[in-house]
Amino acid sequence: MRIFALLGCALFLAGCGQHLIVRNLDPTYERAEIVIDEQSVGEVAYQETMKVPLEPGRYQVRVRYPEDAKPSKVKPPALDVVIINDAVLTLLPLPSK
Amino acid sequence: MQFKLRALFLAGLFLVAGPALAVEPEPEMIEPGNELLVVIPSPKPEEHKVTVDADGYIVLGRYGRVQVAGQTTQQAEKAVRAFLGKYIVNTRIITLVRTDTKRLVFVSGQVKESGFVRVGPKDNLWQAIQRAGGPLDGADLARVLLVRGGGETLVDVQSWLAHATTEPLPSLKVGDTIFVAAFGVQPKGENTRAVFLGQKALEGKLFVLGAVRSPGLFDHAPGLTGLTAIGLAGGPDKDADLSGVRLLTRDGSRQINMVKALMGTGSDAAMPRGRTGAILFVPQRRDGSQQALGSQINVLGGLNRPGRYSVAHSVNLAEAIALGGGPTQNADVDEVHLLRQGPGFTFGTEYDLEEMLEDGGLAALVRVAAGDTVYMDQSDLEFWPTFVRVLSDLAIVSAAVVIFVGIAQAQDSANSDSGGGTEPVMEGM
Repeated sequence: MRIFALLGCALFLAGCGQHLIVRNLDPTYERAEIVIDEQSVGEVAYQETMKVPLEPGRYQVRVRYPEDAKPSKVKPPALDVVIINDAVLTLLPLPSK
Repeated sequence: MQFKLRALFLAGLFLVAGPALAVEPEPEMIEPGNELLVVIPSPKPEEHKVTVDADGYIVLGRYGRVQVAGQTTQQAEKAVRAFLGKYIVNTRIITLVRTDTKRLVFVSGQVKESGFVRVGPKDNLWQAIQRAGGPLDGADLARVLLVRGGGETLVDVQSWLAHATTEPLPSLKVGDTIFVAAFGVQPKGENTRAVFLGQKALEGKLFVLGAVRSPGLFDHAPGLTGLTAIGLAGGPDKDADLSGVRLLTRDGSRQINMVKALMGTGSDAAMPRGRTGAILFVPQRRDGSQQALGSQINVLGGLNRPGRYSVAHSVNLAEAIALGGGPTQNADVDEVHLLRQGPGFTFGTEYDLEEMLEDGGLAALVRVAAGDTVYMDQSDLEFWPTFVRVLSDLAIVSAAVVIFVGIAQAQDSANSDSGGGTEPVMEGM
């Protein structure tokens, strides 16, 4: 019973926490990897959304594309952001070099 | 119409990829290591900047690989169109161009086709002139000017052609500019450029300024065109925007699209003669929304002076809102949105200004950088501000009424006192 209560609390807290919501609207590549503070937090496919739970704080967010994208794409700059509430990062087609 | 559209599109491409796309010397076979740009304008605009791999293939993203090595650019374009026909309906609008800039030189002056030409690693100055359509009848090949990195050398191509000299012609380097002068002109001293065209025509001078290698004042000559003038000034800089060249004269200014002239879809502009002090200005290319917006931020929403503001450096959220005149009466200060746009992304989040002002905290770390937009929510509920306004108006009116009534009563009592015949009481009587 206590376990369920704890689990419930944990789920509630997880639901209440802040998220970085990443939407991938870039059709150029099938998926993009999201790197926060030099740590990969997962990949988000085209037209999909990923929710990354984050504690309030300052983060560096970077988007990494597949290896074959490197020569043909401008590297998106690292994004220094302060997350207090939910934040939405939308990935769009990159301009060519 | 199709051709016009394509020409316009290619002109647009030129802006993106720079001068590298200017001239396509055919036939030159594509080989491994070459860089190509494949543009698919619809249904969704796509650009694939690719390098031909060792097997002679290029990879077009999710579409797959196509073999292009051993083909001319036109043949490769057809091959790419045929390959993409499986996925895209209208393949005729797909364009393939070579973008490798490694062997491009600029040739101008007395040649048939001024502009950028691609030269082979073993090509020399004469071959570059030939790739520019060859010299015109009046060309003085004994004094061909080679401009390299700000330095200038006069090369006697005539003697080399006549086998009168065993000295080889200089090999070419990336970004060299070759200027073939008109015959009979004698260069004098160090100021070669200024005198090169000058003896025949000294009616006017022409300034060539901006994104050229050797900006300066040049003598005019009959038939001097925009491209030739740019060549005279050492050729365009790598950041030059040849689509927006401006010619300024006493009669006003006009824009010249040199890209079209280079692409053969527009005419090269003749420089006005006899216009002392005419200026040909080559602007720098601007790209990216950040550059366009410069150091400005947008501060919008429930603010007293919403608008676009210039900032010398990044400001914090409170400073940005202060720039916008501060929050209005019905602004939601706990809902301040920050929107940041960059190449390939938009980022948006929300901050509580009230909390930030009270205890600082993390929100104090938020910086609003150039190009950012800050938006402060406004309350949709107009009741309270209206109620307060009406209440304050009522209070003013009530106060006015009370004062008016008070004054009226005082006057009435004063009148009744004087009109009532009451005799003043004389004390001591």
